[in-house]
Amino acid sequence: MISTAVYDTLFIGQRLQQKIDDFSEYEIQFFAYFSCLLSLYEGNTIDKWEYSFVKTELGSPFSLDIKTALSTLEANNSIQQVSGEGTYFNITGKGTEFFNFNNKMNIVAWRKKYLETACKSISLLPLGVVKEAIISDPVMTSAKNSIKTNLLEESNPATKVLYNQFEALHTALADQYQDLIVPAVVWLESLNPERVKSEL
Amino acid sequence: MIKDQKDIDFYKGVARDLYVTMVLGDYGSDKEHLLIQLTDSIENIYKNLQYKTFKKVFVYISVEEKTKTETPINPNLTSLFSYENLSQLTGQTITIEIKSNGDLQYSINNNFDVNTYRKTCIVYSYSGETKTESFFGKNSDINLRKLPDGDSWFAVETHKSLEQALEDYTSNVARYSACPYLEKVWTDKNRVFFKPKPESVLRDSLTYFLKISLRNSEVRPEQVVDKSHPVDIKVTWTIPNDLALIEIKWLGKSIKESGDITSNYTKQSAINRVNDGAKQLADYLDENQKQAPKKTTKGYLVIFDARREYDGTLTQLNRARGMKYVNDNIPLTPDYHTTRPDFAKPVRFFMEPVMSN
Repeated sequence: MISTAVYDTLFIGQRLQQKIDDFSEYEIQFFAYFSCLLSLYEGNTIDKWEYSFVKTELGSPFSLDIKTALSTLEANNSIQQVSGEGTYFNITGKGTEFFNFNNKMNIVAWRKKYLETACKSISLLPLGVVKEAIISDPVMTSAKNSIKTNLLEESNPATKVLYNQFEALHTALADQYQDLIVPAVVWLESLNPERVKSEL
Repeated sequence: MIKDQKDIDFYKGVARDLYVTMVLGDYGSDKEHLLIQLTDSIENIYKNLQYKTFKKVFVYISVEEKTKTETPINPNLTSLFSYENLSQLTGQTITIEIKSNGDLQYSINNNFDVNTYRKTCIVYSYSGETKTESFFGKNSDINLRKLPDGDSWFAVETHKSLEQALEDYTSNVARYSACPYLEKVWTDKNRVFFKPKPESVLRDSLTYFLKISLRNSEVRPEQVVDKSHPVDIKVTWTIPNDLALIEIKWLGKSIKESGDITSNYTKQSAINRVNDGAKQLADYLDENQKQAPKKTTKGYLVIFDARREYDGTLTQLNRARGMKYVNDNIPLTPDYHTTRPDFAKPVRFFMEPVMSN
């Protein structure tokens, strides 16, 4: 049975590859974290996501499960490094077949929506704008100034701030939109420091 | 959970100003796939079309369901079977329709009545004159805020290497001050003189450009390497374990509104300033090696060059005066980049003024 981290890595990798020709571990980590946040927005617990995140020394999100998934996929030739560019990957034919087979499994059905929405965001906002917004979320911002490394712990005051933001966002949008993409991009845009500067 | 009305109002405001919310609010959430098809298409169009040469670009997609054989909304359109064929198109205005099957049709220099099309189509426009882009809903429209990388949200080029990013910045941002930050760094509309102390604005422009265009990295302004000498921008990659320290210097003159010169880095003082910057950077690199020895660190000296052949405090220069220093690279003594593998070749961003001829 496929692990969720492996599935998520292939899902995100495929979408990023369609959009920007390849993907890096750093980018997979970002979009996995963003997908997890979208799941929390809809009321799921962090435990349901099945893997957790810590912060790197740079203050970016990191999951050991995602890193392990990438290593596993590279070892079994489901992904390969882009020639001459050691830190970027492409999905192979074998990886695509593996993904397509597992994409039908019920066990992953519920999480597709969050992965899909996270990846769709870069059709509506530039990739760098999405990235800068995510690292400005209250949990990542708090993590930069903290020795704690675990992200999204329930006991973390920053996680409470995040939930408060989601609650306010829910109310503001008042269930006007069927899909998750509107809350996702509104939240991203709200975090973007350049949006605030442009209004000054 | 306590709901703060201020936060709720804040998000309502953000949603009101976002084109996605307007479009899906006006045409229906079930049209999300069409909006994404439109934005993905715009991105592909901009990879091929010389869009900046047009006064107006319109791209649209119908939101009406196909009930029978699709009849074109605009019978004057020409079919296009490859995005690559867009590269040869020129004109004043171009209108491109995205068909639901992904095909494109276009027309050149025909009038496009937004008010007619917006009733049944999601419409996007780009203005080459004002360098702004907009989405139109049924009754309102939203301008997208400007990005430091260039003109369009859908043409932000991403880079894998810092060298590529700096090259892009040199030609497409710094050269013509094509960025919301750089637009505001001048005392005059012809970009002859800087405002006093332009350093932080120049740094913010380059920082934000690198943040949105450089993949796989973290970009941070003003990182302290040691207590007395902060470097201007720090770029970190985790894989590979690399670090770039960017030192910024500017050349030219800055003046107050009164016309009083506040700083003057031209001729010999320009050469001294650049060489001082190179030495500063070499010292930063030595200090950083002590503090972050496990990282592979490289130093980049970047120079915002706004030197002109000035005519007093006149803010209208002819081409000869304005472009006198366009190819004038400052010699470094010592030339660190030839002797130190951790010192990159300096990058000079010549900032072109608006000239009278």
